[in-house]
Amino acid sequence: MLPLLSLVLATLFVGTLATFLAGSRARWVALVVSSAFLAEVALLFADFTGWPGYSAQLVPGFSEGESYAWLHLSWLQINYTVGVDGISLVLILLTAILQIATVLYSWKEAKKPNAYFGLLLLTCLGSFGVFVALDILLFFLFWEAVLVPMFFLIGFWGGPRRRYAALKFFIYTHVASIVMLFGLLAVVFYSGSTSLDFSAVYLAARGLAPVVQTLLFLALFFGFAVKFPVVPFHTWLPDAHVEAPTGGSVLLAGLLLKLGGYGLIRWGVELLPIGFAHDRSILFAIAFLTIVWGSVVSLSQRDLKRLVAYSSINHMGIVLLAIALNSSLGLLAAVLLMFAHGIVSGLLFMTAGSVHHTFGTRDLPAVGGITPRTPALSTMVMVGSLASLGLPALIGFPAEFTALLATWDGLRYLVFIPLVILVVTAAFYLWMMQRLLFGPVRGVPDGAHDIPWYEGAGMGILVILTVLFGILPSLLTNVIVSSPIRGFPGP
Amino acid sequence: MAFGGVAMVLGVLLGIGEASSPGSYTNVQFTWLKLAPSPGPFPSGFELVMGTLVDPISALVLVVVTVVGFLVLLYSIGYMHHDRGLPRYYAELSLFLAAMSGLVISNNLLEFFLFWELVGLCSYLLIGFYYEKPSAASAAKEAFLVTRVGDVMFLLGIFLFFFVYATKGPAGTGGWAASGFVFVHGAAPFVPVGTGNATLLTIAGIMILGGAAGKSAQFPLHVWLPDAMEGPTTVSALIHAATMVAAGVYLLAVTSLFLGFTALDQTVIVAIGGFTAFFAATMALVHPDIKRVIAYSTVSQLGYMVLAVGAGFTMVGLFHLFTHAFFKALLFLAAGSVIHAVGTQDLFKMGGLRKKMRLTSAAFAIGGLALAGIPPFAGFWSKDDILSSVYSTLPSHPAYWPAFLLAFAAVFLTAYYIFRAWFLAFSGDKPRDPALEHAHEGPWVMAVPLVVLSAVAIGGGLLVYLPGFAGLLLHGGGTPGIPPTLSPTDLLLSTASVLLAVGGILLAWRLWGNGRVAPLPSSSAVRSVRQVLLARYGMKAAYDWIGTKGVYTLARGADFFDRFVIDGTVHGFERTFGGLSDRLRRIQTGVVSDYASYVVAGLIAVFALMLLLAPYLLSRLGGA
Repeated sequence: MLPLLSLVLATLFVGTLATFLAGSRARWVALVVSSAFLAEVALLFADFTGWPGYSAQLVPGFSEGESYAWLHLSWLQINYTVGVDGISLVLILLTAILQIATVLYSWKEAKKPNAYFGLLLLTCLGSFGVFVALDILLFFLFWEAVLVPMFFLIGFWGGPRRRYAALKFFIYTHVASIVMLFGLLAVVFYSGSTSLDFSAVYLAARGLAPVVQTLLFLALFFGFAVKFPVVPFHTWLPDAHVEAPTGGSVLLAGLLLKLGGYGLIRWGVELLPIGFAHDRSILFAIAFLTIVWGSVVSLSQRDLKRLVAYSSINHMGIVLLAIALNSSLGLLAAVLLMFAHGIVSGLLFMTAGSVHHTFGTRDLPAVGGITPRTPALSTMVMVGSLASLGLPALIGFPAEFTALLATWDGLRYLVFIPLVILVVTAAFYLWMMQRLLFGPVRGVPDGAHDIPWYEGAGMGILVILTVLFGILPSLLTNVIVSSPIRGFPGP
Repeated sequence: MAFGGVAMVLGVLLGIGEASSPGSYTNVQFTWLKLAPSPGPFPSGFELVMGTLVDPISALVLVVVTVVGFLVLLYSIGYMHHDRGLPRYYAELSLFLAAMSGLVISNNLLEFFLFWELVGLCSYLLIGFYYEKPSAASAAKEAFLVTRVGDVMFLLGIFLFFFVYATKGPAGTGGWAASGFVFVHGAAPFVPVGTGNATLLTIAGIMILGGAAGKSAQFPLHVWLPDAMEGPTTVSALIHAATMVAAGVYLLAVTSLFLGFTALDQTVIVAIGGFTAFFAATMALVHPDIKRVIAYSTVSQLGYMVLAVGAGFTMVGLFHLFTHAFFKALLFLAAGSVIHAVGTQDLFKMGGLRKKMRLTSAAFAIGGLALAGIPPFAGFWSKDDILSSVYSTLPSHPAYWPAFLLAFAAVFLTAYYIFRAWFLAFSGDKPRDPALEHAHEGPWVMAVPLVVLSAVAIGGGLLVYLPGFAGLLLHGGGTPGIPPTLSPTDLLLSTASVLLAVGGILLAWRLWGNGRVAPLPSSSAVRSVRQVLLARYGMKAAYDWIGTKGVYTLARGADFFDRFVIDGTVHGFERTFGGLSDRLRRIQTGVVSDYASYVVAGLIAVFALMLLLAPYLLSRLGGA
């Protein structure tokens, strides 16, 4: 059996380097690397041992496991351990899709294209690493490796306030990373594990006293929550999005936010189930606050990117809610939602970028009635908005449906809160479409023409997948539920 | 167009087939989403499927959808020929027909909801077809949002039903978990009402009613439908009169057949239906816009159907759905013919069009007679069936009395407002606005649908006595109210309602006949009532206020909080901790390699710290 995960890592690593060095041909290199990545992910799916009937698993519970000694001290073993299960596999697919879509969308990037594409690839490399790493140090290395390229993408290619936004992004997430790291190490040392491997720590952590688990879980939760982000640690996100270049925004919303959700599931909930389940009221409170806050604040936004950013906060609130429900259905919903949000927010940020390129502004009062001038762009905006507000037959619906069903199951009538917020979410998207797409033409420059082919190709991929997985969500859910559900108290 | 024709032929064939041999169609389904058995709320897992179910009621409604759909497509060739964006128009209309057909043959509530939202989307797109007009864009948004409020309730209703049945399915079947939440024709409601979780079922029923009220424009979610008249008239005829708005009634029918309502649910549904029938009719009395008069009439007629389904006469309600779809589509298409000819929707500018547009005038009159419930026109049979059916339950359900009386009174209003519109538009010598002198009939593609629909509006009600057709309405068994009985009480009731209707027509003739324009009433009380009716009881203004002043102000406040309180705190920290920003500004050299080295240095520092700290921690916590 091929060491597929290492092969992907190597591909991305070499590809990133090659892109940096490729000069003006960087985009072709990036495209080749992205295609290779996608092909390898397809192989991963074909080879996935989590399917019913397989049992060959080197790392317990994970498919494609590889483990090599890396740094063995007398009191601590640090390994290079990687592996995937259904949850990470779906998020890896998301990474590959967003990477190729972003590369296509940014095809004509003129400012230092080799660095730009290289940093895009590096972000995806880091995200991929986070999704496959099963060793705390390796995980942390990739986790931090994502921040660096994003910092530069915002800080160098960003808008007028890019310095402020980049630093805010970096400081917020870095502080959170450090708290998370100390939390994870504390789990290792308190539990007496002598290895940083997920499996070892997982087993050792069973023995921790409930109160210790609870405290450690809260530390980890803080670390992941900033990344999510949840209210009140969310204000870095709108600024980062507004200033980031389009490609950066897409990966920021599509991948980086998923790291928080994935981290919470893998390294929080699964590692410390007792601590997680002990008192979930604080998680619920934060989740509901985030859902309501994100949606309501969206309603007042004038900047298209800011609007989508706050809607992301709302969606990530639903993800947190679904995770906090502590049920298999909730977990399914959370992962499905992360995938759906990755695709849809990627699409929406691309449209926001195209609006900016085409009309020179994203300020909603300044530009409107664009449909007759840019029908293709308008269609994309509409598909993205409708998917994001949960229209059936698009990918957002199965995710939200399962999340809400799980919420009803866990919390009964509290499901009213997210349900009512669905109306608010519909309201701000519809109002945005009314202002931007419909009504008399205003603020459209004479030379404005519809999106170029490469932007259309990038968005087109995402639109097709939005529809495909909306009609056949079982393509994804069958993968997700094939993971052994770790961390649940069980029947 | 051609596809529409094929769909109609298939739809009608299917209807005939189902009528002659019920249950002869093969139903298919596939897995949409599946959760394997696992610890958690659904220990045996569950499976959500998408599939088809052809049974008598779906066949009946499918016939309506495909026939009216085809006629509207045909009519559109003439009506829309001068519009831009025709590919978009036909694409959206076809998508609508597909989604509506899907809704009708759905075999479970979730799939029903999926198509339900899709028809809502098409409605949104088509109301906003003239999107450059701010009023159209705004009406589209309003329609989506108001029905969304209902949809959210519908979704909760699905959860509740799902929950009740997933955990308490019928013994021996493995419950809903195994059955996948699927409707089976001929099966009794899954849990006989009253034996299941009664409170939950009641709430579930109310939530379903909420969804139906949103889609079928029932009080208090009716506000969007009159504004939806911003769309092309063809769209109003197909979506906002004949098919989509009837989906709410269809939902209630499906729910009552397969899931069941509790007695309390029924009382609420009856009350909402009866009240809406009257309430909407009052607003139609004074409106000057020909399309909006018909739109209020649609709301009112849907109220009758809801009333019938609520009172337990599901098939009677669907019978009215059937006849109403045809005569209301006829009224809209006739109105469209007028609008096409004169270019305005203002009744007070029209007049005397009878001489210029004989076919249209006759078609509108036939539709009006059917709507008013004059025998032998189609509306008489179904509306009268509703009234007599509900009347028969009054002894055992005194709570239905107010709704019945309101619905009965609405008969008079209905006859009055529709003939007020007819007299204003068609009677008299010549148009009140001289610009309309050269009005003439449209092309044949517009005339054919009018003729076909007129035929159904005249004779469609009698179909109920046709054995095959009645088979559909009998739903494979005895169904109360079908076919209508002719007991002495019923005859008395029918006579009374016909007399009321005739009275309404006469009043309309007295005030507006022969091109008269009734002067504004002198009494200030009547005038203020008229103002209230024109202002739609202030409900739209109130909803707007909630949206713009209430929620939007809240949103602005929250945004302010984010920008100044949260970020303010963050920046405060920054200043407190030794001018962090100053130092950061100094290291912002703008050189990428500098940044990189900072970051790498930071990383190394963190790792070093981690490695240094580890032995210390270990030694302190070694025993843990």
